[in-house]
Amino acid sequence: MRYPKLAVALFLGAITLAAMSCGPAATPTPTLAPTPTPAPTATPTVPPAPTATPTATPILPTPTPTPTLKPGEPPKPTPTPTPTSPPVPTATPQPIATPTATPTARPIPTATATPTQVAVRPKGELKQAIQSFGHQHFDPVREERGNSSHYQAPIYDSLIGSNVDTGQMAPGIAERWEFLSDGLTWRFYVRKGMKWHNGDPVTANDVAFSMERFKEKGAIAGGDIRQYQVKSNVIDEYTVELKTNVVYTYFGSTMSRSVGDQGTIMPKKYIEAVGADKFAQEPVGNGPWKFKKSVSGVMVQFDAWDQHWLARPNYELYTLVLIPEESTRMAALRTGALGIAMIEPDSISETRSSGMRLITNRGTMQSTYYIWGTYDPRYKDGPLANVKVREALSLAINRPEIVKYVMEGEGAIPLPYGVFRYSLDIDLAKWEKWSQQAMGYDPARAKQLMAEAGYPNGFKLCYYNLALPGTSFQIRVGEATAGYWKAAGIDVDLRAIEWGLFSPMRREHDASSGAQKVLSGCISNMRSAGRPTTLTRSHDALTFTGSERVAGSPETMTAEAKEIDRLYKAAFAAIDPQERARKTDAALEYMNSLWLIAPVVEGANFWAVNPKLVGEFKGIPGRGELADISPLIPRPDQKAWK
Amino acid sequence: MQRYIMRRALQGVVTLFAVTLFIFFFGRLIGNPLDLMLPDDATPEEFQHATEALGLDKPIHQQLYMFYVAALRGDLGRSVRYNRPVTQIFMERFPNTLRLAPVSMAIAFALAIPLGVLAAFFRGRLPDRLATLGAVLGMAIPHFWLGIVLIYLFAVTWDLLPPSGMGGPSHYVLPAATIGTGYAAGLMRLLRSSMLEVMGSDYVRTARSKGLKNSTVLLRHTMRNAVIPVFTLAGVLLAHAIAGALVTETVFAWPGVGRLTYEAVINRDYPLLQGVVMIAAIFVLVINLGVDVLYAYIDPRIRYT
Repeated sequence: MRYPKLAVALFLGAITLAAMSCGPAATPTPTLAPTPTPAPTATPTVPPAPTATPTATPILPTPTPTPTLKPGEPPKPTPTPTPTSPPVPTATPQPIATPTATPTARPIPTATATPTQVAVRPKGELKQAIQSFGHQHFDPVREERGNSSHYQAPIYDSLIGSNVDTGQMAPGIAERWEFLSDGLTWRFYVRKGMKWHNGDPVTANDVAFSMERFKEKGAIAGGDIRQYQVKSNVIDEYTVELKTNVVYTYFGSTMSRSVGDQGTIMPKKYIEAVGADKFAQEPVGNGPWKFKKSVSGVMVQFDAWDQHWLARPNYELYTLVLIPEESTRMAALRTGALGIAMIEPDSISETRSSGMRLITNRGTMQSTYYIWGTYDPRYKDGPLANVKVREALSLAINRPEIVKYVMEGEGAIPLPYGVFRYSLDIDLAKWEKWSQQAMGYDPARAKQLMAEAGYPNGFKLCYYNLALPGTSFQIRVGEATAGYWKAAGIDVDLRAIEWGLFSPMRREHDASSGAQKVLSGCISNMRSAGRPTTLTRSHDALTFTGSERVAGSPETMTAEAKEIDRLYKAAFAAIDPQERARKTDAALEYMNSLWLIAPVVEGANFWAVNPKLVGEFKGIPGRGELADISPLIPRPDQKAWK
Repeated sequence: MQRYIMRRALQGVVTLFAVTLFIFFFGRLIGNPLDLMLPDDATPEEFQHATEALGLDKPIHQQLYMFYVAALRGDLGRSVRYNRPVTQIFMERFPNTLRLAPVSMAIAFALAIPLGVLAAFFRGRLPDRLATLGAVLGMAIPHFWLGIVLIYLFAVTWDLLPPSGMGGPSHYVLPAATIGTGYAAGLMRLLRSSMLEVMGSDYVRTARSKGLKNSTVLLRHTMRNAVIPVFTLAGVLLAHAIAGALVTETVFAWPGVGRLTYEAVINRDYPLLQGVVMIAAIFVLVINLGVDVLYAYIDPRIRYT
């Protein structure tokens, strides 16, 4: 080679030119030109007609009418009765009761939401960045709720929807539903006139088909449907009954998007025609957005669909992009490359100072701690087995400071574990009062309790500090908690651990005691997701049949575990709403008295919004994602949706 | 020459085998993907079913054998997370990395060659010290930090360039500059050392004594020989860039192979991790082999040893 320099230069130059020439064209940032406010064309929605039979005992409150839409205003979801469905038990293998009641209908009058259409032509692109995608499956049975809600909820409706004002239940595919007096059967009335994105009608057969899909071997979502062996009975084209194998008073909640994704309804005819694999690649739903394309780990895109029963999107295109790095998301938002970005509390001050708008979805989680294996023979005489010490640990935490400094003032002092301000079957005033007292900061009382328990000079405590996926601020909550405990004289051995390594430790049980092999005798961060079902999360954690077994195990049946089992079963089996509320209260009181689990802070999900690209809107209580309100999010030239 | 190529190719096959073996066993130390895939309240039966469905219930040596047999057929399995063929996902991302890598290399060379030559030519003087300081900074500053600083300066503060993602030519500037400056530092230091070594050699002294101009000596006699080790390093860096600049691609949300590798690790997606590392290793080996061949072609001493 006579001219090595030339060869090198030519080689690199050729590659560079080739690469540049095959790069994609620039993606223009959507410019949202202001449009004149359209004439008022929205049809006022009519208050739903009661559908209860005369002899029925209404369980759900009477619906209130939907407010009339104003010109240019995006439609609000039809106000709903807030069905006081009880929590969904998720880990009670034994039948709670053997129902013998004659299945006399006890219809639940629910709102009949009238489809509302807005005559505003969708335009522009709503571009939203999130920090983590799930598996990016579009077949609802193949992925559990979590990040999947970001990209599945825009496409699919649930059998029961979510009230975006309260965080509770609302009509969805079912415009109303009834809980029959046998305690097993739920009758759903499918809204007429709905269509799948391919034009097929949505019918009761789709509901029954979806339940069967969730029961298929290999399904990941739909655990309750499998556990309670839900059977479907199609009464007619728009009526379907779903029956559980045991009394399952919270089945309605399970079918709501407020609780999970098990109520997601899929198109029978389409899936049978194309098969599950193609359905997953080219999903067809009946939500306000039609699937357009997906690039694994990069983005998902949707087109507006103008035939949704509730609302037509204000934007023509909805793009979800994955930007893992927080600083990059904020930068992209500030430069106008994004309209909305998911943020952590760390970025709240930057959001405010840079003129971006902060949206807080309140009550999406509680950051808590569990005290593991207090019944384990190795630790049953240790400090954590003493309830006074456990209460002292909670009193030593300065929660208002954590809310102020870790959560930038956007968190809240928590209610009991797994209970939120939108929870069902609770006396909110009572638990607010409890929260003020029990969740207060009282280091003197904490010291006194430790002294009474025989630990005036503290003790050594191992503490696993971790964050569950999507709430990395739990690490800082944990650090602050450890700091307060150290200040109370406790020698804290703080162990940072990643969730993926920690999670299986919960399931590694000692053969003789049934307690966690490694975790027993320690404390760790945990989390309760925001759900309106009051007792489900604490039941999962405390019951001896679950994987967490905080109060006892099948091998070590403590008195506490027996009492929890009794109280929770009684609450789950109470069909009468008032009786259920009383029993829920009793279960909560007992759980709180144990101090085995204590919430530290009620967290939220945060979104930063570029006001030049996106109009004003509010967050959804209890729901981290924005998918359900995505069609209602206004453009900057439209009236705020609040 | 053919024997040399054959020998290097065989070494490459052995290296590839070692790399895949390593990633197969050590990749499993990051944990069980089912812990992230299944819901918290999944039953033992659901765990068992998912384990069987993924083939994770089989003995590890059997899994390894199946992996190699399938790989020889061009099948690298399905991603646990995305439930799609690994090769399909890789090929979605690979072109994006392939576009970024040469731009990064071009920036690296554009910085390294003039600075290296200047530093050598003005050895011990101000240009040398400035260039050396720049090189030290380039090597010391983490890509992660540099990327964020560049985003805030050029995208947020001055609004000159897009902050992230793929798009037109302007989207390439910041990520390529982040990668390129790091590479340039190493290349510049090597070029400077190599230049100084060559400048002290007899034939350069001879050239000078013949009365040749400085520029002629520098470009025709010094650079030509000094660039050989630089060329080798450039090959390694190019291979590195093509295998995926993990940190930079993550910071700039660049949908390339580096970010895919990052996702495979955090999601414990064994098949995806194995597949990505294997394909990336093949590219690295091929590029290195190509560089070695060119190197031998450029330097006859290598050819005849």
